[in-house]
Amino acid sequence: MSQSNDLAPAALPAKPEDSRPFQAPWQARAFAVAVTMSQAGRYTWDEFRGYLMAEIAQHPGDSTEYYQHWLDALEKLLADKGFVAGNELNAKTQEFGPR
Amino acid sequence: MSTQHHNAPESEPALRVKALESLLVEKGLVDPQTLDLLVDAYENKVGPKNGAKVVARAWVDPAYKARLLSNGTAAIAELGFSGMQGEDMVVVENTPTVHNLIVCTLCSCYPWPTLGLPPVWYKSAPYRSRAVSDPRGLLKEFGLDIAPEVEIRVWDSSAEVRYMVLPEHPKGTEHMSEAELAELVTRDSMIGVAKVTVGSKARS
Repeated sequence: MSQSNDLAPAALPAKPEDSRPFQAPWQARAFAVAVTMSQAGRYTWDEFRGYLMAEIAQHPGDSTEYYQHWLDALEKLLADKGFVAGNELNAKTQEFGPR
Repeated sequence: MSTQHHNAPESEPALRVKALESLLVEKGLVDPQTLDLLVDAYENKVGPKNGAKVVARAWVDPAYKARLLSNGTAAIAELGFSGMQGEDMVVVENTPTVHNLIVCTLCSCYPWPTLGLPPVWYKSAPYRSRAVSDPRGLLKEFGLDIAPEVEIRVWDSSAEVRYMVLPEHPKGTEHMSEAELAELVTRDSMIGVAKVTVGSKARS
């Protein structure tokens, strides 16, 4: 798989394809949180999309971390909206898993 | 606090999502059961089988096909498929002279009610850029050789509109029932990176 950052002929993700909607449970949860908060009217889907597009744009050519972009976008949106502050989330993350 | 013990430590994103969900639940902003239902819906219920039914109906019912092409959202809803990311559907028809391809160049917009969640390759940087810059070459990599005289139309999803391809009705299927036809219609054919043939088999 091409590691170059330019977008010219790079290889598609390798086959055989993993056709599951989510490759890890955390991706499913991140997806569900983003959608649920939107459906509850905390932000519009377009707002979330904007954050997601910004994350993707900052990592051109990086094909492997789509749901990482999703999570980063969600965290930033929730922080900007005042729902979950960054340091609050960092602290809670520490509680869940000593590394 | 965690009562789960794994042989390997959980990944950083897994821990962050767990923490995020926990905080949102504490604050009364999300209900875990709602999240569970959503995950179940998109893992097990919503998928390309829906779109396949739409396609098969269009193949057997010319009046439905006409409605589908003029107002995709309404026609798709006739079959019971609607909801998030399907609020504004446009269905584009493949013909012997036109081949359609769907992409979201900036993220991963995709018609969830009819196709479920997008495959990993659809979200990848190479797909998102090459669908626009070199669709013919890209399709070759998918094993689809589009003749030079066939026009390739690439549809880049905008903020609202979600696209779905109505693949060509394959030859040799005239004897098939609508349900049998639906079983031939693959997700890839409704994105535009494959055609439906009499030998196709929809995976899920």
